[in-house]
Amino acid sequence: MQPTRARATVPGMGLLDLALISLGGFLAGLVGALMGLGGGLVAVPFVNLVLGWPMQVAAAAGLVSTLATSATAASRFLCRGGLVQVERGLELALAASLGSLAGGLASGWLRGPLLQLVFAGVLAFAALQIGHAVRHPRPEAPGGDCPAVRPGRRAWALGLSLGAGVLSGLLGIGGGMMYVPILHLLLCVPFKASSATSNFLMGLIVLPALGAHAAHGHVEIGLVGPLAAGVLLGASLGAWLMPKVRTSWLQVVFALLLLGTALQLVRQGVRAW
Amino acid sequence: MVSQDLALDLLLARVLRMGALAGVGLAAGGVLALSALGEPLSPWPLTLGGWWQGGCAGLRALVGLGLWILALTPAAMLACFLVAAARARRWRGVAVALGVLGVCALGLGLAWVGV
Repeated sequence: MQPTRARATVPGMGLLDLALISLGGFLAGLVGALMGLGGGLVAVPFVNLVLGWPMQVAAAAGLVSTLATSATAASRFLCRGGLVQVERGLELALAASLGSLAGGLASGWLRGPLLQLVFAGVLAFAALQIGHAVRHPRPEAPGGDCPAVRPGRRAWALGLSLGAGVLSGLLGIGGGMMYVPILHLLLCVPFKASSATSNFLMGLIVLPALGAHAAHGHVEIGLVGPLAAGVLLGASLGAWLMPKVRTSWLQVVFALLLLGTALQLVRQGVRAW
Repeated sequence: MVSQDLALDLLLARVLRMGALAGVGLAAGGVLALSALGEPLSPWPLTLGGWWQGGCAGLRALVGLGLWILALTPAAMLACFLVAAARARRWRGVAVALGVLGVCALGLGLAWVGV
């Protein structure tokens, strides 16, 4: 199979272009944080569908944004003390980082339309997850020590983390919507601690994938810097706003938007196949 | 009195926050300055090794440094955890952290040489 060359077709960018990229990143970070998702899930389709960059370049930009947002979110959680379960999380990170490295490497040899179709599937899954959360709000579970985890469950958690890592590396997303259920349902980590631990892990998980994307030449400097800055600012504002606003109606709108984006990706992917 | 675990959490938090802000600030600020000065944003060296070997200088090197800082931030945080775990003789944590660091190093090594 021939490796795809996903270098940018845009030779230079003006201040207006940079402002547009930053604004898009800001909105992606803001909405992502309000919905409890990473910025990548919104930023990658924005870069691919709105700005018109190849899917692989969009994925690399999503990984850089995830690095920035997960670092700031994890630092907030770490300051609360005891919420991030570092050692339990690192076991998942080991499996997931191997997966993300494989995904990042594979992205250079897969065609953009295929990545668009896979991303559409992930967006549809996220929309369903949000819809489920709106219909069945989760009560705040008290924290506490985790019970011992059966070896079978641990093996499942590691296997699923490996798969989630592949998707992270392939598509440029943090994968919080996959790691939180793994930590909470399989490893019995309380929900809030799962969310905090997942944010902590994301930077470590996407780092090998970013290396692989850089090796393929997918990291576009003019894109990733402004996008990451925008996502970081938006995510910080979103995290500050989240406890102050009612998000249930916003979640419904967002889930519909995700489904619409997924359909658009499918349409483009099938047309370019 | 801050417990040992909380002190470690606070240290990791500080490393993450400072690394993310410095990395993104340098990368975004450098790109903005390049654009304002009318300098082209591309082409760039394809590999990180190319950057190191003088593939870019001045403001472009600053952007590269920002991305390096951002990329190394989680690894630096994990290195801090590794030292703390080793001092506390939590060998399981040490082994897993070493494994994760190894995979991260492999990814960055690929970025250095290209594929």
